[in-house]
Amino acid sequence: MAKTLKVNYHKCTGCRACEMVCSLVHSGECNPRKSNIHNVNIHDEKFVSVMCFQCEDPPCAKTCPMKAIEKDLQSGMVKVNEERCVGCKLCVLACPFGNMSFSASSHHASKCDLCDGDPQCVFYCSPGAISFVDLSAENLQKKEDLSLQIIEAYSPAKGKLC
Amino acid sequence: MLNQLIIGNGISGTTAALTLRQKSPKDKITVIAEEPFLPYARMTLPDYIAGLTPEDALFPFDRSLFTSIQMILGERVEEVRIDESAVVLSGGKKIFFDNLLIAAGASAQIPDIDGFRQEGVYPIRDLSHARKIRACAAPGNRAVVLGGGLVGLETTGALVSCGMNVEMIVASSQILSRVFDRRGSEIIEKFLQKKGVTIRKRSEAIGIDGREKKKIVHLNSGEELACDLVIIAKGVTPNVNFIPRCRLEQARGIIVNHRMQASLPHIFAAGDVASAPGFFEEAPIYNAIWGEAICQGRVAGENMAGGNHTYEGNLRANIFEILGLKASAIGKGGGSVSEKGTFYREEYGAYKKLVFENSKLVGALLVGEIEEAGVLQYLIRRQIDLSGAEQFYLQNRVSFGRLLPT
Repeated sequence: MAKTLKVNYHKCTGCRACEMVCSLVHSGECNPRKSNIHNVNIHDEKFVSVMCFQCEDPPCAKTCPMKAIEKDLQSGMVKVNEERCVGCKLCVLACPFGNMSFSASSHHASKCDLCDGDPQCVFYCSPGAISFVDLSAENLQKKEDLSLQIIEAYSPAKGKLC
Repeated sequence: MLNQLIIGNGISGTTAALTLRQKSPKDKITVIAEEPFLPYARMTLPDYIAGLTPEDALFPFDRSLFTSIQMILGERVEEVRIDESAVVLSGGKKIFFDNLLIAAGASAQIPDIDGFRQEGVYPIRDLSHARKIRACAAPGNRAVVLGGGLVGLETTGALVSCGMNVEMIVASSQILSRVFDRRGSEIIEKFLQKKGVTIRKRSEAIGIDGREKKKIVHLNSGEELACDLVIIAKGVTPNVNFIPRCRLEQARGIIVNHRMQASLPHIFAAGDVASAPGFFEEAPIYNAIWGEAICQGRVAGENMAGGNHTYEGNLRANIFEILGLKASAIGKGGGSVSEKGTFYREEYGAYKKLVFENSKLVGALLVGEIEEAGVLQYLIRRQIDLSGAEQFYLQNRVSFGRLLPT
C-alpha cells in the first residue's frame, strides 16, 4: 500500500535534525539550504517541518515543459526524472507550498523523494513528529483535515496570519 | 458527439486537446498545426542552442499520447469561415467544427528595417530558428542580440555558453524593463557584464549590412558593430492574420473572457494568440507565458467539453536563470505601486522585493534565490491579508507552514 509522511506539529521541537539528515543524505552536506524538508519556526513558539505532499494532481507535473515530473501510482511518490529535467524551475514557481527546491550543483529540480521508501527524517526525528504511515482511511482523514485548515488559511476571507 | 477543432499544437492547444479527450471521449478532436512537429517546449530552445539538450529531448509528448486525437501537422489554416463553421487549409481543404479553439500562438516580431531578413540574422522563436542559430554559434565568434527582454537575455546566456562574445542592444534604459525594477535589472546587468557580455542601453539597430559571412549592425548612435550572428528578440506578435477581425474582437491578441470564449460562445482562444483577462486588471492583457498558456488551454478544453470553468486571470509570473543567476518576477513586482507598501532586502547577493497593496501581496521580485517563488505566487493569487507581517515575510524565508493554525 502506498505510504505517506505525516507531520504532527504539536510534537515538533524545532531541532532541525530532519534538515540536517535530509541534506546530508541527498547532497553529502549538512546544510539546511540543501534539504528537501524545511523546518518552520513560528515566533519561537511552534515549529513544524514541511515537505512535498506528493499531490494527487501535482501542479509541478502539470507545468513541467519536459514532462520530467510524474506521480508513481504504486508508491504515490511524485518523482523528478533528472534525465529529462532541464532546470527551468517552472515547478518551483508552480508549487503553492514552496516544496520544490532547486539543486545548484546538479542543476535539477529537487524535492522530497521519500528516500526511496525509507525516509531518514522519520528515523532521526527524536520527538517522533514525523511518521511514515499507510494511506489508510484514518490517516487520509487526518491529512484531509490538515489540508482543509491550509485551504482556509490560504483563503482571502482569512484574517491575520502569524 | 461534437466536432472539436483546435488550431495550433503549442502547449495551450495540446493541453486543451488532452483535457477534451479526458472529459469528452466521444467527441471528435482535431488539431491542426503549422509546424511539422509534435509539441515542444520553446523555453528549452536556448539550452538546445547551448548544446545542453539534444533535439529529440525537446519533445515531451510521445505520439502515442494523442491516440483518438487527429493531428494534422505541417498544415496552415488560411481562413476561418465563421458562418460556415469551417476552417480552410492552404490547398483548399475544409474542416468543419462545432467548437473551435484558436491556439495559433505568436510569431517573432521582425521590424521592417533594412537587412533584418537575411542569412545570419535570426529571430529566436521556433525550432527552425534554433537549428540555424546553433549551426552559427561558434566559440570566439561575435553575436549581437537585439532586445533586452527575457528571450534576448536567455539567448545571450546560451550564446555565451557556446563561447561567443555577445553584445546586447537594448532600446530601454535597463534590461528587462517590462519585468524588473531598476535595482533588480542593475544586479542582473552587472552580473552579465562580469561574464563578459556588453550591454548597450538606449540603443537601437537601424540597419544590418551583410558582407560575405560578416554582418555589420548600424546603431542609432552612428556606431557600427561587426559580428557573425544577429539575433532578433524584439517580442512576438499574435498569429491573427487569418482571423476575421470584424467578427472576433482583437486587441493585441484575440480578446477572450474568463471562460476563454472569444466574441462568439463556440469560438475559444488560448495561449500566445489570446488577450485574456489579467489577474489584477479586468481588461484583457497580453502576456505570453508558458504557465498561463497551460491554464488557459485547460479552461478552454473544459468549457469546450461543456464545463463551466473560470480562468483566474493572467498574473505575469516568470522564473529564469542566466548563466547561473536565478531570478523571478511575479505580479506587480516590476513597478512601484506605492513606496509605502514596498519592501526591499538585499543581502549576500540576493535581492528580494515585496509589493503590498492594502496589506496584501501584489508583487514580488527575487534575484539570486528563488525558492520562495511558488508560495509568493499563491499568496498573491489568494490575496491573503498579511497586515503586520510584511517585515516578517521580507526577512524570513516564506513558507506555507506559517499558515498552519497555532
